[in-house]
Amino acid sequence: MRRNQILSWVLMLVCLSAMAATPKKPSTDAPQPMAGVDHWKSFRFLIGNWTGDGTGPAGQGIGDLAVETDLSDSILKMTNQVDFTGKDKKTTYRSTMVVSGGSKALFMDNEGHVLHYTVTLRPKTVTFVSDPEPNSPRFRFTYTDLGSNKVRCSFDIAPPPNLNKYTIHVSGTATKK
Amino acid sequence: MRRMAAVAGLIAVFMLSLMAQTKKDLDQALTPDAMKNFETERARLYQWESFKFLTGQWKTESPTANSGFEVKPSLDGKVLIISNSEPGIAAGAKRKATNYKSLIFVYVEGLMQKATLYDSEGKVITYNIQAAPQKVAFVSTVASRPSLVFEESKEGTVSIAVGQASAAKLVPQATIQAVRVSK
Repeated sequence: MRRNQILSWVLMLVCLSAMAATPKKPSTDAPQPMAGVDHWKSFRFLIGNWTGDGTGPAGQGIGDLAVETDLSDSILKMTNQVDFTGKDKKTTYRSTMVVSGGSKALFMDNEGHVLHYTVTLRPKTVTFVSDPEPNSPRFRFTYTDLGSNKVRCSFDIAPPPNLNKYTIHVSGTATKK
Repeated sequence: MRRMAAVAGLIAVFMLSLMAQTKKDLDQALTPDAMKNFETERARLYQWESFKFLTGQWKTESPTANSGFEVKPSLDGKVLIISNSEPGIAAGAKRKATNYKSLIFVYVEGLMQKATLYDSEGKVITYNIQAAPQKVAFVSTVASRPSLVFEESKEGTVSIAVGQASAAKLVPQATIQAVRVSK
């Protein structure tokens, strides 16, 4: 009888660990914005038009980032364009990130990537971490307010199997226009 | 002792099946032919063939003045954006809201066309796209949320049915007509 209980516990633990490893589906229900509450307060330092440069495996890049609220403050839209000059060719990278009222964001780019991000807020820092997916790397964008209209931007990748070990892919400083 | 061995065996079988599944996924993901087929299918989906009848600017026949929507490609064709000011397209929206706006981003995820709607009332709705000739259905991934069907009734005219998707059919709660303003 006791051994049966042990067996049940072991099976339950194995099932729970498998469930914990299953990626969560992005929520489709965003909290309704509350009147009079600035739910973009933590993003305020980021709102505006930015220009900056950075380096990464694609080469040296000069880019623009526009961050604005839209749909009567229901969403925050981040539109990014970076022109990379590599060894052989020039490429333009474009992306759009839509942040909804909760802590979720949808990312799309001109390379066909579609990623669902979870947003975490710390003083002067906004971080977007992609939801884990099987056999895929995990991505992280970090924007840090440096003051004097400057923001540090970093795009990091954590390749599988260790989805918490990030290496910097592109980083740089942006200046408000 | 025998039971301990049985437990260990069971766990080993479970772990091996997990590892086999992972390896199968990896093998499938890395086969050159599978990758080629995957890329070909994605390239086909990015043609947005089913949406061709819908691209452009539309005026809806609605009590709300100047309401309508526009369908246009974005991000070098990797995404379609539907910019909408017609409150009737989001069931549950305040019907007479003159400042109602929504954005629908249509994208390819894996080998499926999907979409996400954001509106000025704070709603977020995700859809799976189902296409038929001159007809595109946005089927909400949450049964209680409204689905949409855009269908060309004649050249330059579309009807938009809004309602609950049930057993692969839409039970319309409202239908809105729209006429093309420009391509």
